[in-house]
Amino acid sequence: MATIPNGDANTLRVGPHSEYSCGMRTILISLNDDPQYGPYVLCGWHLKSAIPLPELTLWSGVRKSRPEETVRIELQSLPPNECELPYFINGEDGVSLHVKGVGGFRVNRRADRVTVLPEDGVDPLLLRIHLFGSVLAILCYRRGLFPLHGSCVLLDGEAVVFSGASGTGKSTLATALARRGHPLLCDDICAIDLSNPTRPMLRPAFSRVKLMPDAINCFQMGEAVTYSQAARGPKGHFGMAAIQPAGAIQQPVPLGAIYALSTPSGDQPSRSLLQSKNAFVFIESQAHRGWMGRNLGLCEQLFGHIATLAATVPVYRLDRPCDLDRVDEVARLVETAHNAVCAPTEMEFRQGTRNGREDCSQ
Amino acid sequence: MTDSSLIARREGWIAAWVGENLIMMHAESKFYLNLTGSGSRIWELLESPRSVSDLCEALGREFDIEPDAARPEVLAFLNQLLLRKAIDVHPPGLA
Repeated sequence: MATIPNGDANTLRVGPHSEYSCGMRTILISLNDDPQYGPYVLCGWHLKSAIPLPELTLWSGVRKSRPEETVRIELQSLPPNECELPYFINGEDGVSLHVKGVGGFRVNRRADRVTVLPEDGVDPLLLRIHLFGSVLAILCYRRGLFPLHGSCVLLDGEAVVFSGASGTGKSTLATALARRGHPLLCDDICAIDLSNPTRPMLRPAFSRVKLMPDAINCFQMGEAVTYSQAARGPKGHFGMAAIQPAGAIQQPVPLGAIYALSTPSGDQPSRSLLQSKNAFVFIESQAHRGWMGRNLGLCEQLFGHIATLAATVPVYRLDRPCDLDRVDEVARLVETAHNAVCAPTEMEFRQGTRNGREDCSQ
Repeated sequence: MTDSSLIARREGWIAAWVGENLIMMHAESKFYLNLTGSGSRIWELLESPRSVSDLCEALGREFDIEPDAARPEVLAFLNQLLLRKAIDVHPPGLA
C-alpha cells in the first residue's frame, strides 16, 4: 500500500500567498505547479491531484500506471469576472463548465487533465461533489465509458446498481446493503466499461455515499460524516459518509443487474423484470448528464452503450414501502435475489425481524 | 408511393437490437423509433434500396403470405417511416 498522506479534506490550496478563513474550514492558498495528493485510483485511472480527495482510495500495488490511464487534477485561481453565470462549453481545447457558487472546471481534449478554478470561499466538499459529478461524467464520456446515474454494491461477485432520479433512495438502499457487509463500489455515478459488449464491467470509484440528514440519522452514522457548509433544500445539510475502509475493491467487476427505483410506494418489497424496450427507455433516462454526452458529439457512443446495456443486463423495477425503518427488508429481498450471503445486522437482532434466513450466515 | 417506388433509408439513423426490439435513433434530433416483428425486418431489408414490390415479395416469402396481401400493411408502415423522416421515396410522395 502507498503511504502518501491523503490530505486534509478541509484545506484547499489554490494559489500564492494568502490565507482565507471560511467558517470552520481554512482555505490555504499556495502555488502548486505539481499535483501533490495521491496518487489515487478512480474508475481504474491513476489520479494525481492538487486538491486532497479523501473519498478516494490510494493507488496500491507496485504496478506502474500506463500513460493512457493517468489523470491529473490541477488548480488555478479563477480569473476576475468569471464567476457570474453558469455555462458549459465544448470548445477546441476541451470542455469548460462553471457552476455558480462553486467554480470553474476545464477538462482537456484528451481527458487526462482537469483544471479546477474555485470561487472564493467555496465549500471544499461541494467542489469535490461536482468533481465526482459532472467532471467525472465528462471523463467517462470522453474515455469511452458509460456513466449511469446510480449507486452500486457488490453482491455475490457481481455489481448491482440502484438507479433512478434524485431523491428515490439509491444511496440509502446501497448504504443499507453496504452496512450488511456488501462492499459499496460507487455512489451517484457508476462508470461502466462496455469495451466487451457481451460482458459489461463496472469500474469501482469509492466507498462513500452522499446522504441527506434523515438517512444519516436512520443509519446512526453521525461521526463518519463530512457535512456540507450550506443547507441544500428543505432537508438541510447533506453529508458525505464513509461506509467502510476504502480501497477494498479497485478491479473492474461484472455488472449483474440494474434496479430501477422510483418514489417508494406499496407495502411489500417486490421486484419485476422490465421488458427490454422499457429497460432501454429507463437507462436512457439515467445516463448521467446525458445532455453533456450528446453535447460532446458522442450521440452514437451513448446510444450504442445504452442499447448494449439494455440487451445484456437485466433491469428490474423495485417496489418498496416508503419507510426508512424498513430499508433492511428491501435489502434482504435484493440479497436473496442475488444469492448474497449476509450476517444478521445489529438492528435486525434488536428488532427480531430476521425470519427464515438461517442459511445465509453460513 | 407505388409498387415501383424506390425506398431507401435516410442517413443519420443508427439502430441496435435490444431483445426483440430494433431501437433506432436519429442522432441529430435524438428522435427514437422502436420497430418490432415485420417492421424491424423491413428496416433490415432496406439495407440497400428496394422497390415496394420487391419488399412485398421478400416479406411474402419470409412470412408465408401473398405479396398482394402484404402490400397494404407494408405501404402503411412505409408511410409511417416517411412521416418520421426515416426513409426517402423515389419518386417522392405518400401512397
